[in-house]
Amino acid sequence: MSLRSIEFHFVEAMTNIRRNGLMSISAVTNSAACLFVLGAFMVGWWNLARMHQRVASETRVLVFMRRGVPVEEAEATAQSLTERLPGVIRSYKIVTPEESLSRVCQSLGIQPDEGLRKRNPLPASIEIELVRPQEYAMVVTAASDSQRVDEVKAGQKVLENLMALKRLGIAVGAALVFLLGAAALLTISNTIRLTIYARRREIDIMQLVGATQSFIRAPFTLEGMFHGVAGAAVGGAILIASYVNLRLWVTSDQSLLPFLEGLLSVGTVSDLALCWGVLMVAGAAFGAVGSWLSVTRYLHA
Amino acid sequence: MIRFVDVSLAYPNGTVALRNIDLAIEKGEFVFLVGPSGMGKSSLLKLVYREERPSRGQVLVAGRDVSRLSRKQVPALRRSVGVIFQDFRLLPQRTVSENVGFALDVIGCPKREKHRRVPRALDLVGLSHKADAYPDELSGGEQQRVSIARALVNNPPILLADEPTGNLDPETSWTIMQLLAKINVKGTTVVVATHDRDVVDRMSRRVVTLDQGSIKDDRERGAYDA
Ligand SMILES: Nc1ncnc2c1ncn2[C@@H]1O[C@H](COP(=O)(O)OP(=O)(O)OP(=O)(O)O)[C@@H](O)[C@H]1O
Ligand SMILES: [Mg+2]
Repeated sequence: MSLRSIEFHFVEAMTNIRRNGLMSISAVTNSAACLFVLGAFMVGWWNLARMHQRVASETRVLVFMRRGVPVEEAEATAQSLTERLPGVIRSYKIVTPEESLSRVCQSLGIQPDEGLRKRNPLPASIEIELVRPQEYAMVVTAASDSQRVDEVKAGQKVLENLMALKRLGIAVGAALVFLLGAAALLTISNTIRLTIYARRREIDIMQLVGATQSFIRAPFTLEGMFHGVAGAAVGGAILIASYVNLRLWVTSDQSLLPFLEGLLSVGTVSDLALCWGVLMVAGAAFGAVGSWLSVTRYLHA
Repeated sequence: MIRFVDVSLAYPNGTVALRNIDLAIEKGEFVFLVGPSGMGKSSLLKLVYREERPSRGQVLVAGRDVSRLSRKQVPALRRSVGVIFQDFRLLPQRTVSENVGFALDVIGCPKREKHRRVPRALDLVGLSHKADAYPDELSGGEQQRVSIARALVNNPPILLADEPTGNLDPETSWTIMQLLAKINVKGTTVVVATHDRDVVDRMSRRVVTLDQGSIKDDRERGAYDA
């Protein structure tokens, strides 16, 4: 498309928006509301995903050997696990019974005496760090196979709950995108229909003298995208302002700080800019699709 | 230039507007399409610029079967067929030269080319002095001349006119017909659908008479009631 055509479409689109006045405002307001809710959901989900990632990255698989299995055999088990699951295990560390004992004693605040050392009840264990923590199940299964292994533990429960929450979030999010997206899209689409109605003489003449469909569509697409993007800008600004305030309020309570900060880890300028950007792109997409629907309806009627 | 091969057209509501039309219009011809109201004149023209598709048969324009054109190919056809109507179809908020230029704008014609062509088209229809007037400041005949300029500004080889003088007094009708004849002399194939008995008789050109959707008569140097 030539520079000249772009100029033509741009002028047309601006004229349409101005002429549509109140309808344009209502399209923008509506998209803003829809995109605000979508954005709020997106930020929430992002926080959840971050938390999941953090918990997952801290999750190690702990393999407890049977009592009396010597450290060398624990080492051999770890070796063979690493070989059986190439690319899954990042590193492992053998924890000797002595080490475990001193850790336990330390956490209890007692000094292990000679007797306890001699009859140490603790087994040797392996601490495994994974390349992708979500693959822990594989390691658990493989490790449990071994005769020398007594028990395998991973932070499964928390991870699984978070995972389920994330999945639920995706389902709810899809439904929201669908419903709110449809709402934004329909308002924009209706506004465009008014423009088309006001412009039908022009459109008919364009068709008559051989303008291509994409040429005829262009100013309406621009208009729809303008509504969507303007809505996203407004809705996104309100969202970010509210979110930033929420975080400030949360972090002002020192006692809750560590917990809540972990809950709302999204918050850097670039995080928020990304959210805003995603909303703008979504707004542009809703606007483009909305206008596409209306123009298609008119042209193919 | 234009050929109809056994063409029939039935509208979705069941009205059969055209039946078994066979017609050939050569390059550079000037043809009147006459017949009482509702006999299918407009329908026949609509098939040429692909506003309608035939239910049967072929409509060939410059050798191409236009009924087979996909939606994407229609604009190219429209650029080679100029069309004018009884009601002029001008844009009231645009001046005469903007109305004519609009037809070039929307097909992506470069500005410089537009500034060359629009005055030429206005000159052809004798309206150079009204270039900056708005349509409602013009007489009916002048408005029709603007619409002719718009139809021709892209130099299409074919000009279709559907009742071009339907809203005009006899005097003005005659000047419009003279203009169409002049355009025809320059090489454009012209097809005029009309009820205007006087004009048809006076021009003494080929006349195709439609009756109930069929061609009843087709003769060179004909008259309205053959
Ligand atoms: N879009 C349409 N849907 C259904 N029927 C139509 C449509 N357009 C025209 N017709 C019918 O087809 C027949 C031919 O119409 P057409 O407009 O071609 O006649 P015409 O010769 O141009 O008449 P006029 O001289 O009044 O303009 C008429 O019976 C008309 O009612
Ligand atoms: Mg008619």
